[in-house]
Amino acid sequence: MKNINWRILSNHIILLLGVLFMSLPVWVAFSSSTHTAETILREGLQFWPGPTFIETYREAMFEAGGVMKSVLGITMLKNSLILGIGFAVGKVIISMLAAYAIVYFRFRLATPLFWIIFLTLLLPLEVRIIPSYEIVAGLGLLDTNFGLIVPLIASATGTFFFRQFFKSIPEIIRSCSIGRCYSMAIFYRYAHSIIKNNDSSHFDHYVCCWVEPISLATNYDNKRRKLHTRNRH
Amino acid sequence: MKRVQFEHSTIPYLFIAPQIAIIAIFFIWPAAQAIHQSFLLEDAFGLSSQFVWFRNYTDTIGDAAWLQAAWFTIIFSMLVTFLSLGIALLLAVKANEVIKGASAYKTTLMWAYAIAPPVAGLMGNLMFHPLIGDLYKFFNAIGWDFDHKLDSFDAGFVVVLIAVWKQVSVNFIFFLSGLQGISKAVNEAAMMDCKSPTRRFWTITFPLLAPTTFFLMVINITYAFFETFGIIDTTTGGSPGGATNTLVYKVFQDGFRGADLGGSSAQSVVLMLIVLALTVIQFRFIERKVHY
Amino acid sequence: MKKIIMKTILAAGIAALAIPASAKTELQWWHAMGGRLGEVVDEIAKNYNASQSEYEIIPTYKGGYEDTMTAGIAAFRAKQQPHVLQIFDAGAATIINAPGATIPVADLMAEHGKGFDSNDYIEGVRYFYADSAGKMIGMPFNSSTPLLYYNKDAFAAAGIANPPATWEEFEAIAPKLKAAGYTALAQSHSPWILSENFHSRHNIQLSTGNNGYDSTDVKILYNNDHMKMHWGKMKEWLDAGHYGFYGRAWGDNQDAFVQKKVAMWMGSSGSFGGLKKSTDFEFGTTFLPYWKSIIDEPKGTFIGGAALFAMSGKSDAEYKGVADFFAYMTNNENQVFWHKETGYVPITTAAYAMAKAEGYYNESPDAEIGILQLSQPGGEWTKGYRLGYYVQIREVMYKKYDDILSGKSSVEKAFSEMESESNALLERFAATYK
Repeated sequence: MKNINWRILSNHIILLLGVLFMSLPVWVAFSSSTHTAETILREGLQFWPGPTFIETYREAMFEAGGVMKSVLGITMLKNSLILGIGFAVGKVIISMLAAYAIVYFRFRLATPLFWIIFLTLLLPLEVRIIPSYEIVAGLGLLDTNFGLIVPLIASATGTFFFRQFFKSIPEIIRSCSIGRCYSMAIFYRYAHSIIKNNDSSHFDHYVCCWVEPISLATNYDNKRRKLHTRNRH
Repeated sequence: MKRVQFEHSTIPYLFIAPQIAIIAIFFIWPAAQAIHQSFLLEDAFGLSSQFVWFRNYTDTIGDAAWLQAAWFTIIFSMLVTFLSLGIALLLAVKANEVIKGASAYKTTLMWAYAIAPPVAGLMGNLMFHPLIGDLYKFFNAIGWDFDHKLDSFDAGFVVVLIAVWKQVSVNFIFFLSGLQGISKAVNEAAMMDCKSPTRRFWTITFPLLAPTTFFLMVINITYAFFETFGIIDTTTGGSPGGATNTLVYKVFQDGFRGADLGGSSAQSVVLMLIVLALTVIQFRFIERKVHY
Repeated sequence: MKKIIMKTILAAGIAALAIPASAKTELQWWHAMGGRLGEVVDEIAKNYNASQSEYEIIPTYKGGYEDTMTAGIAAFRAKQQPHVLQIFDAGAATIINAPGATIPVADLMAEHGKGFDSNDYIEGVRYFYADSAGKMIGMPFNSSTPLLYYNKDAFAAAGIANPPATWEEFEAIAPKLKAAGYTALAQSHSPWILSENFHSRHNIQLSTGNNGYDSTDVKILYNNDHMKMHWGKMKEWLDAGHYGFYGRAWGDNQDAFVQKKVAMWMGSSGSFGGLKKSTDFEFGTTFLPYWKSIIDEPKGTFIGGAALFAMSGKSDAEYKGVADFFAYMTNNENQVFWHKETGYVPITTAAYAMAKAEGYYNESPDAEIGILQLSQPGGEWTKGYRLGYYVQIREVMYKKYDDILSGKSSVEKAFSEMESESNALLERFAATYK
């Protein structure tokens, strides 16, 4: 009995330390933002929130700031939201399709195409930015949201992740092909369950599109595993 | 491979086409341009260029500043990868085990992933600010003559710390999902044979976690090589004296700031080859040991 | 039905009347002036647009100096370049050596404007953005020069009457300032202040090839005894507590002065306005110190900051507009306005005379120090420099100075490495134009 108590205690201690490590910087930044600059310069960063929360955030969001004093915080937030959603949606759709194709189909160009996709991880945007500028300009997409989103959704992380994910799901297809499922139908089922689970989630589309399918599909898969293990015995 | 796959000729091509198309336009074409550029000595405006074979490459590899950046990048990446993976794995395992307060822990540990690298760098700046930074004062108080603006080790410490901090959340999320995907039945079955939880972890859980770990290792190494740019830019800017320059930051400095397009293209090609080699090694040798 | 048609025709007719008879020619201006400086830029642009009806200048802030230059480069390569681009001192060689990237301002004004005479411009301003024959390629826009700021209260507390004119005097007063609780000196830009302008002040050649103006095939001459002596002294002063080094960021060293950690600070003539707002003590400005042992009569310094370049590839009509705008910028009223609002120096002698006549310098004598220093007699080597990949060379310099100050490297070794690494960069640059 004593052993278990120690273990649980140490678990909680480790977790608390982890939480402190991850949250303190953000908390301190937030608290300090609710004090005036003079207070901070005089006393250093603040641990506890102070009086100027509304003023500071109102100023950050709604007063023209930035180097040229011409951008509102709220505008920047709106831009980020548009771009963020655009990236997330675009990336997930494109990578899921590509990964599904690579894992579940036998076609000649599968491996070279996967490596081509993977190579995009090796040349970050900072390096190809000047030629990219020329291309976007040539396509007439300068100063548009679309022109900002498209160059960045050609990323391999999504495809790589979905590849790992699809590979780690065991043989549902074998069982399924007994019932004559078609590849598109299976994909549709995946996508459908993934999209369905999106409503129930957290802070950001991006995360939920990654995490939810896993937990969803692994529930599905756990049931399958149980069937398998039972059959084996 | 035990995998069943469909034999179908057009559907996979259709599925993979959008990604390949975007990659071709926005990656392959600029990359080809960069490679082409690396063989030229060209003025910034593109008005006079000479084909110089491998001169940019030899200049790069012989440059003391580049070698320093390469060395720092290697150490930096190893530290960041292993530390952030290690911490995240530890936290994920514990979060998976506890029952009380599990979701509170998970939420607070996860949400920091949403912070962009430059923002993490700025927060780090706050914490390490000579006038108001608590961490700065703390380190000086415990006797470490801490000054990250002047001392290269201290500056390296700061960027490693911030990079690890930023990445722990992401790794935590993936590890946690991976752990949750391992059915409890497996663990319970193992408990009959093996009393020690630690040993159970290393012999059962960790191997089952291998696909996730492998994915994360590759992603973390590329993160450390490339995406820490935002952190370095907002904290040390490569200072002091180029001590915290990573290879990608040097590409930015030479290409973006110094308008040396040939040199920075050569550097980026070399960088790409290094990361490619690292990735191939990982896929060849480590993926073999991963059981799907 | 008829009513609807009539209304539509009426509406269309009114709309047609509302279309202006002729559209203004738009001129794009990309600059790196942020904050208060950007506001003044916008004001100048607004005034210009209101003053005439043919051209409209549209200023866009593109980030810092390097970012603006890179944006201009990328745009040029994509054939989207602006009409006017602001390029800083370290980028001068890049844009001036690019064959045909810009139209020299002297030619532009002569052809499309009302003519151009470089003698209208102050001595220290005239040559930096000119070619080796003296023809101005870029038009100096925000020009500043390094100055010494000193805390008058600190000096009073230490019992020192006047700020040091020479480094020898500095060495004499530094211990007194230390006794009064201040580190004597900080500075914000070791390449600009303590290398480039050090050479100018002491009239020492900076690089072969006429300081780089004559050709790109040049070698740097920083590895000389005077520089080594001075930087040996800097390290000595650092160890003795007379010099404070707060990292390479400009702001950190300026903050040390504002927070009264140091009694003197070497910064830019343009820092004046900002200091006035942020300090709570009385401060003064004076010329950059020099070594009496090197030179008896010190020469002037040259300008830092940036210049405006007219990018090539535009139509004649547009160039007329650019010339018109440049003429507007350099007229006396605007020069004095820019000078007063930002602290940058007026670049024409006429504008300087006008400010003097207005009595501006009677109210703020410190504002004149920069111009006075720039107007000091020029020597052979006060024209400035024209060196390629100078941004990278400055990085090398920062690194070596860091090594010297932290004790990691001896002065001798640092300078010899600085020389070889800089020359390697210069050689690459030269090979680009063969």
